[in-house]
Amino acid sequence: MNNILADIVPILIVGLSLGSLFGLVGLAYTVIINATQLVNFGQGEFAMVAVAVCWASLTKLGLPLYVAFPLAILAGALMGYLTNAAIVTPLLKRDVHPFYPILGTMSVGTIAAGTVGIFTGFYWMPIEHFFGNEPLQLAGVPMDSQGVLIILATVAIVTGYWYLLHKTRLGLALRATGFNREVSLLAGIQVSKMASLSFVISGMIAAVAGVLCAPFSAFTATDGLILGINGFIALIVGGWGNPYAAVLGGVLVGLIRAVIVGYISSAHAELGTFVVLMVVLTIKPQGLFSGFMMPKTMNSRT
Amino acid sequence: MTRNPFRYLKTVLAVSALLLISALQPALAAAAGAPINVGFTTDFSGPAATLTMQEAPVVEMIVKEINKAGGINGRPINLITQDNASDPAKAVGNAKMFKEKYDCKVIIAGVTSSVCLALKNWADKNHVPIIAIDPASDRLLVKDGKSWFFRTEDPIFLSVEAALARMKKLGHTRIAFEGSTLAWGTDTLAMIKEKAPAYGIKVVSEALVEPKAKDLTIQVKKLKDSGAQAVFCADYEAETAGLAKAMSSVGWKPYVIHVSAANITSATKLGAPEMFNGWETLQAADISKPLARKVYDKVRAYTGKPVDEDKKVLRAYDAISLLVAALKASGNPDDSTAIRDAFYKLPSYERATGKKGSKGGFVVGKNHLVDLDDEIIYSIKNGKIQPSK
Repeated sequence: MNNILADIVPILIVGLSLGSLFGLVGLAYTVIINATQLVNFGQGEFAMVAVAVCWASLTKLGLPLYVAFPLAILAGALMGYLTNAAIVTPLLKRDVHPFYPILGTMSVGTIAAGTVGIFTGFYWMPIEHFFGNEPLQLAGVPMDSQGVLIILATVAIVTGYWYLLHKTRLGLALRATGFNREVSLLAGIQVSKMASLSFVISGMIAAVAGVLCAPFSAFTATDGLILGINGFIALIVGGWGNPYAAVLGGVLVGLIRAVIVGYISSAHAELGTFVVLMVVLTIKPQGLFSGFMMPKTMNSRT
Repeated sequence: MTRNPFRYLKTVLAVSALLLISALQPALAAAAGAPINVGFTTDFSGPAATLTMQEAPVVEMIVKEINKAGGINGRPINLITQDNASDPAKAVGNAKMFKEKYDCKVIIAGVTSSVCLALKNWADKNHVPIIAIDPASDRLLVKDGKSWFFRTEDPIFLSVEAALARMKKLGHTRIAFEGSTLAWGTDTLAMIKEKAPAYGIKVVSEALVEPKAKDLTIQVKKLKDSGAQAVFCADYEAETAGLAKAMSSVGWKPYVIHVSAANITSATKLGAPEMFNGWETLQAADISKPLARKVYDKVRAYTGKPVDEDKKVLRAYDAISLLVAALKASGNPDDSTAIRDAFYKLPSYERATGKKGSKGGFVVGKNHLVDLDDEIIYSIKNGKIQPSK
């Protein structure tokens, strides 16, 4: 029994932790989609900028992690706020095709990667495991402390987001904005502020995902894109417009990757991810978990 | 109606003048001190960018030195630098641009074997000599005749033989392999499998890891569970750091030999350096020899930054110095073939790579510089490499 546990637990932990990271980025996409109907293609770079801020705070300013991490989250929030204020809202006010602001977010991401690259020379921005490299022992099975931390952080963030959406007036306003922009305006909801808030929340979630991911494999200025792509796959596999489905989609992708790595080869993990995506697009394009806990006043293609 | 005998004279004279100018262009360019364009394509971004951070300044430094000293027969070298991001298609695009837009007659390149395999094919077809700094793949070997592709890095078969000999000496007979899914990793694995039986060594497990893999815990656990006594590693810096972290996270501390000193010294900066204590590596370079020390000091003074005291800057120094020497020895730096041939005419070149006193450029039938007896084993302690006892 212990042998089976010892075989399965590391695969589960890696799958859940990687999947949680993808899911968090998928959630970050969904927060914006629900409020604005737009996809933020700079999402991965939001995470990368947060990693850059955390790394610079730790190594250049000598700040402790408990200061650097919040600063990184603040940077993610700021990225979100500025992207919305400088690109998205002005374009939406001009009533252009939604493609324009989406392209705008992509440009923000590319500019962010280039700018961080200028400051870092496209060099790695390593961040150590938060609790050191020694493994956690659970029932005699060693497991990676960073992986466990990522899983716990994801549960906490999803719970917090659920609470915000369902138990606060602000969450109600956010949901209403996503459900019907015009009716929300008539109801006195400041729709543009809700859009701005969604970008800020999204930036913060992406920042947490990025900084938690960085200890696994150091980031460079161009690595936001990879995380962004995996988050988008999570969103598609889980269910468009459903925040919880996006997280579940990420977890599923992560678990499948871990199983492929564990029982076939890590060289085929990427292939496996895209095969899953193709299967979902063919069989259930609305996403595998599209109806899961879907709030009634929330956009979805279902 | 009579025909004017001078009717076509103007046209004939104009064409003749053009032909004369074209024929004399190299001489005119040389006389005018026109720059000699040299293309430089390497990985300023991508999985091997850390290597470039150390190597590219060496190339720039030597070019500046040569230009300051009057260039080559009064002609300065104009280094045209382009990023290839470890992408073979980008690298070939750069090479094409160097040739067609800048009329480069010689190119210097880095980093990955995948990129250099594409560049070698391009060089063979276009007859423009390329000297590369880093690639190790044995598929780059040219054993017959003259080559259009040269490199200063030691080929895989040499480092694999040296590493297997070391493992045999230490008594490790069951080994695991961890390496990159890129050509360097897969080629190294193939070579280990071919050579290991001769050393009485068996490869009991293997893990090929894609660049930017986030977590290697599962792979490491598989290697551990296979009963391997030691690990043979051929991976880039971030993935090597990931391997070390994963080994710590599963509580496994086997003997590890990394086939690239350049990558492991970079990896020690991406994780806690003590994770690598007890690991060994090897390189065809004696970092204690006077020329190596001189190169480290020069590069340190030039960049104002710390220098990794391994083979990175040494092989970059050899590559650009050999290129400059070939341009000089060619007699005509505007002739690709003359430059290619000149790479074989440098017997007195003093190498920064290799053992103490190693000399000579390339010889026909061998497009790399070093031999098996140039390989030196180093151990890693707190992020630094030192010759093993």
